[in-house]
Formats: sequence, structure tokens, C-alpha cells
Amino acid sequence: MKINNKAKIVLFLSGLFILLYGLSYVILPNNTMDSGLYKKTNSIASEPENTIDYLVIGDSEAVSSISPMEIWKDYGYTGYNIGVPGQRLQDTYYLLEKVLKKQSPKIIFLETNAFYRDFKYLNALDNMVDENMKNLFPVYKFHSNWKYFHLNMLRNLKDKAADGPIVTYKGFKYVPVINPYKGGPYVKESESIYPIGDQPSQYINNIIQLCKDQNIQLILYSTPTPKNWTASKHNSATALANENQLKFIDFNIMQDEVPFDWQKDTRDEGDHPNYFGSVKISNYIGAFLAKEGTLTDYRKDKKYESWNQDLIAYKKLTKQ
Amino acid sequence: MTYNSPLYLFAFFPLVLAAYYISPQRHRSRVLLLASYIFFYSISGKLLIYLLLSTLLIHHTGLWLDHCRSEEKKELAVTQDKKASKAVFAKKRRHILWFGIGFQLGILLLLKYSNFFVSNLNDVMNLFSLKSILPATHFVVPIGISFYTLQAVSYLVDVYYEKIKPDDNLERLALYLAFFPTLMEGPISRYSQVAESLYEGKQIQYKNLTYGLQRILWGLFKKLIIADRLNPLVESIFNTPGNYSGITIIIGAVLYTFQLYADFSGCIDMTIGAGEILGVTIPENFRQPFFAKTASEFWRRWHITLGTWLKDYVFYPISLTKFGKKLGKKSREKFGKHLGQVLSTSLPLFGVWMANGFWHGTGWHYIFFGMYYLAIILFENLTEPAVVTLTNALHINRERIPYRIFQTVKLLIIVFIGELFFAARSLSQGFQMFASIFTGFNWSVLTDGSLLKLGVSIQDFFAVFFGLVTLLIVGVIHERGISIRDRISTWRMPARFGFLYAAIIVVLILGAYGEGYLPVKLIYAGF
Repeated sequence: MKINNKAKIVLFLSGLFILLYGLSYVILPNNTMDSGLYKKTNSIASEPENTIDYLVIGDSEAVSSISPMEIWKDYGYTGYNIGVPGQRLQDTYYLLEKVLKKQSPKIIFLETNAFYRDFKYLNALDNMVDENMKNLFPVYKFHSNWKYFHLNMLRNLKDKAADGPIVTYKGFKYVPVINPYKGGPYVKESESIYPIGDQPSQYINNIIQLCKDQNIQLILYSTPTPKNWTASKHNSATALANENQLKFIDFNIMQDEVPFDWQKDTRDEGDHPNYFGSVKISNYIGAFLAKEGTLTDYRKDKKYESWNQDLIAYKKLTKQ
Repeated sequence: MTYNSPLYLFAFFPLVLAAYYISPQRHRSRVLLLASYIFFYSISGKLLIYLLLSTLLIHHTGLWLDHCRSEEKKELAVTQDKKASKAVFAKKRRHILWFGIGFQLGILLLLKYSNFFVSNLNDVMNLFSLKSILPATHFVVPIGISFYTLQAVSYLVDVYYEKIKPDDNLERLALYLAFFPTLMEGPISRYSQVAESLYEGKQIQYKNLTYGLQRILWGLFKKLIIADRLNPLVESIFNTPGNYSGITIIIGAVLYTFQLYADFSGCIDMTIGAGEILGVTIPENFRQPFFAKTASEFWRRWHITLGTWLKDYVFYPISLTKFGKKLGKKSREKFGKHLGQVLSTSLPLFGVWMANGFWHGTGWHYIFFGMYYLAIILFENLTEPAVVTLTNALHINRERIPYRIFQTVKLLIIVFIGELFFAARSLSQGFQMFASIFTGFNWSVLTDGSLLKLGVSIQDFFAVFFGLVTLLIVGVIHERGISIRDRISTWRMPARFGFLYAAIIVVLILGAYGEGYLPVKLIYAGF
């Protein structure tokens, strides 16, 4: 039988669609917010509904700065770090919107580094195409999960158990690498104000509005980072916080309260904190949350037993 | 928007193809031109004006040269002193050509190199305790200017030497300079190779579509599985070289070389694939470069279109100047055929490698990179007879495997050292890194897990290894003159489909993109 070329194209594309959709369904989490084969691997999607009381959002400075397990250990507050390296604020906003459908945190920490990453509308278009592809074929989104594949996971297909290896701890990635920052003191006073671009501004406002609508306290914070921080950025973030009546914690100017040792606490010469730096920031944030008094200590709550189990593994990993 | 961005792959390119497909043939070139300008504008915005200016200028200069030639013919028909008249017109044409080239290169020099000259000049002034005389100005450089400027110059020179006729069709010429798949990283095509087929607006054929998409997929394989996955490790080493030494630096140089090859040749695959779909044969830019026997052969297989451009528009013109000819003649007379030949080519080769280094960017390490290859190629040329004599005396068969392995290892060492300096952020950093190979050599980094702390996990290494082995196998097959796509096309449909599905899934799963990965820019788009 001779098949004409147009029919071949249709046949090929149909097969491809079925294959991609099938692959998404079988090997990877069924949908972005549903748990699947990789239930415990790498996503807030696997957390039970309404169990996360605070969130950390932003780019790589967020991911590397606050470890929810450290805060759980000392205070019993449940939090999740959903920062994504290189994330633009529009993506932060859309991710937050999605997460808030399942979780109802009382507090959100927004890291400010992404405020100064301006992006063109073209990037927004790029992102829109990207998001649609991810929705259409989840395999496109979760493709990197092949790294964490484990034979035990195949059991999940049958009994929905979750034996996948844990690679991150509530969104925080353990990086103990030390690459010292040798540049000396970087905090200099200045009157200048670093302008925040139109698009980031728009999405900051969207995030502020979203938090207001859902009655969430939004707190801005800046990770200590000599490579990215300037006094003018501090000034503009402070102005933005004041304008919107938000609390703003700038760790760059809190050397007395959170003494960063730049010989030990950074993984890449002052660009990001390493694990040791993140412990200092997390300790401060834990104490801050305790002072705020709005969150609950769940350490003795049986519903949160899995957190204690995770803590054992986390302590082993971090050699505590 | 780059060739591997979701916007390009899933929206822009399919939409352009659809618009091209449904348009009447006479309008198809307009679809491509409009798409090319949208593409350019999406990256460089208002700097599109420079591309438009270059287009208008070469169009006008080409016609001006033609007009001058017509005038000459008319003049020669009536004048008595034909020789004098010819000389006058030859001079006029030369002036027109230099005006055109000067304008094209002037824009490039101003935008890309002015800061380099100014800062070096200021450094020299400071050396003599004088004040900096010029302010350093950073211009925003339009995308692809290094590539389209060379295309523009080749067009003018080819018109000047009457290799091609000047094009009075502005639209065709505009498309030749702006064709979007070649905008970011070339290859540097000649007007005679692509302009006609670009303008023709051929119908999309089934075979072209399948071949083109397969080529694009192969490009994505190289870019996403090898180049982008290696990026964190390469960046870690070259951004903070002071933290590493010995084997780690060697690994950095080796993996950067593979990254660069996979990135650049992968982009070219995507470009050639896009061209194939549209019925345009874009020249190849790579031919298994690591299978070369010598450094000069390597450069005939790596970035081929830049090499041929430099040969045609730098090497030959310098060789054919009065001085070049005289140098050749004298050298051969004084030093004999071989040595004379090597010496006489040293001047044009100096021009070629200076231009090669300088074209890549405004850093002394690029100039060093060019001079490094100049020295190696001259040395190879100089010692070739001695090598032949020596191998014959030792009864070494130069075509047999052991000698070929020796040649390959020698070439790889040359290439890796070259790329170490090429990738270094400055010349001094390049020397520091090179020196640190010997000062901090320690085998234990291979086993103590420190390599896994550079942003690349064991799984990443597995994916890269798989990619490189595939690249090697495909290279061996191509080297034997076998077309894999021709072979696949003879398979039965289920086998064909199955193979392509598997290839798509491999790229989709093993590619380094999406969450947790920063998009990696195309390396050569920055040159």
C-alpha cells in the first residue's frame, strides 16, 4: 500500500503525540500538581494539601539561602523553598499562582535578586510557548527526572507508594562547596536608586496583589551576595517595601546580626551562599518567624511525622 | 530568541514554514525577509538599522561598480588611448570597492572594536604617565554583525572581480544578508551559493522537510545533550580558574573544546536543516575536524566557511600584491623551493591568522590564538619534508593506525591548548591556567569526587559520554562517505518512524534545558 506524503506526516505526528503523551503519563508525574512516580523527588507537588505554612520564592539566591529543614529542626515550622535558578519574576508569579491552588501559606519570603533581571516581552512570549508545551506534554517539563530514576519507582505504578530517592530537602539543595570571596568589604553607602524595570515591576505588583488577595504576609529579603548586591539596589528595594508596607530583610547590611564568613560561607566567590552560609540565614529566618508568632510548631504532630523522617536523612547528609 | 528556544522551535519557525507554504511562490522570499527582520529585531531591536544600512550600501556599491564598468566600455569604444582610459577606470573601481569595504568594516570596527582600541591606547598613554585621551565607549553590537559583514564584503569583492553580476534586486540582496537561520552564527555563505535559491521560493518537498527536520534534531542533540550539559563545569573552571589546577584545568580545556564543537556545529546543523526545508543549500561549516592529521587540515574541517573566506579575501589578495609576489620570488631564489615557499606564504598566513584571531573578539587572547595557529602551521609546513624523511628512514608507514593515532593525539593536544587560551577571559589568565597544569598536577581529583562539585553530576557525565560516543560513531560513518539520512530513507516506514521517535525522545529526555538549567547562549553568536 502506498501512503502519500501528507498522510505520512499526519501519521508520524499522531504517533509522536501519542508517544509523548504516553511517556508523560507512564514515566513522569501525571500532571504538574499531581504526584506520580517521582512522588518524593523534587517538587512541592508531592506535599499534602495545606501543609506548608511559609514559602521561599525567587531565583538561585532564594534556592541557596533558606533551608526549610534547618527551620523545622529548631522551630517546627513547615516551609518550602520553591526558588528556581535564573528564574524571572513572571515565572515566579505563575509558579506561585499554581502552588497557591494547593497550599495556603501564611508567610511568603520573596528574594529580591530577580527584581533587577529585566526581561523583554519576547521572553514572556518564549515563556508562554514553553509553558504551553509543558502543559501539553509533561514529559517536556519533567524530563530531567531521569536522573533520579530508581527501580523501586516502578512499584509506584502499582501501589502509589513513594520510594524515590530524596534529592532536595523541601526545595533546598545541599551544596557544601567552598569557594571564598576575596574582594573585601562590599557594603558602601550610596544615595542612588537602582531602577527596577517595567516588566519585573509589573510582576512584583502581581505577586503583592496575589498575597493580599489570599491574606498572606509578603516579606522581601536579600541574600548576602557581594557579586550582585549594590547599595542602589538596597535603596530601590527599601523604597518598594516602604511603598507597599512590606518588611524587608537585607542580609547584606546585617553583618553584625548574621556574620557571614566569606572565607567559608560561599560556594562561588560571593555569588551564592553555600550550605554553611544558608544555615546562618535559615537560623535568622527561623528566629524571625518565631518572633512573628503566626506559625505553628508541628514537630510533635503525627500528621507531620514524615518531616521528622526527612530531618534524620537531612542531618545525615549535612553531617550534623 | 535563539534557534534552540521554545519560542523559535515551537512557534516562530513552524509559523514561518506555514506562511511560506501557503504563500504564492512570488511572495515566498518576502515571507522569509519579513521573518528574518522580525527575528533580527527580536534580538537586537533598533540596531536593525545597521543591517538595513549595510544592505543598501552593498546594493548601491555593486550597481555603482557595474555602472563604472559600462562607462568604461563606452569610453573604450571611442577613445584612442585605451590603456590610459583602462587605468583611470580601474582606479575608480578600486576606489569604489574600498569605499564599500571601508564602510562595512568601519561599522564593524566602530561597534565591536573601538573600545578595544581605545582602552589599549589609554593603557599605552598611562604607561608613559599620560592621561587617558579617549573615553571608552561600549556600543551595543547587533546580532550577527561579524557574519553578515563578511558576507557583504565577499559580495562586493566578487562583484569587483566579476565573479558575480551585481544584483539590482534589493530584496534578494537583503535576504542574502539577513536570512534568519544564518544570522546568529553563519555559516558565512557566498552570494553565488545561496542568493538565487533563497529568492526562488521553492515549494517545500517531503524529502527536504524530513531531511531538514532530521538535521535540526541532530543539531539539538549536540547542543542540548553535550554543549549545554557541560556548560556549568566549563563555566566554573573558566570563571574561577584560580581555584583549580592540574588535571582539572586539562579537563576544563578538553571539555570546553567538545562543548564549543557541539554548540557551534549543532547550531550550524539547525541552520542547514532549516535551509534544507526551504530548498536552500547552505554550505557546510564542519567536516569531522578531530579526524584531521595536521593543524592546517583541522582548519580546513573546522569553521570551513571562515577559513575559505580568509583564504579568498585575505590570503590571495596579500599573496597577489606586488610585495607578496616579489617576496615569493626572492624567497624561492634565495632559500630554495620548499623553504622559499614556506617563507613566501608566511606573510599572507600572518594576515589570515591575525584576521582570524581578531574576528573572534576584542581580547589579546584571541590574537594570541591566531598567532598560536600561525606558528604551528608554519612549523608543520617547514618540517614536513624532514618528517617524511625521518618516517621513511625509520620504516614507519604514515597511513597505518599507530601513526594515525600519534597524529590524532598530537593534533588534539594542539587543539586543546589553543582552546584553553581561546576560552580564557584574558591572555594573562590563559597563561596562568596553562602554567597551573604543571604546578598543581594531582591525579586524585579524578577519584575524590571533586569533579562532581563543579555543577555537573555523575548522571550529567553519563549523558555527555553517551552524546560524545554517538558523535564519534556518526563522525566515523560520515568520514567513510556514508549518508546516514540516505540510509534511513531506504528503511521501511515503521523502522524509520521508530528510529526518529527514539531520537526525539533521547533529545527530549537527556537534553539540558528547562527548570534547574539556565538557558545557555550560542557561543559563536557572541563573536
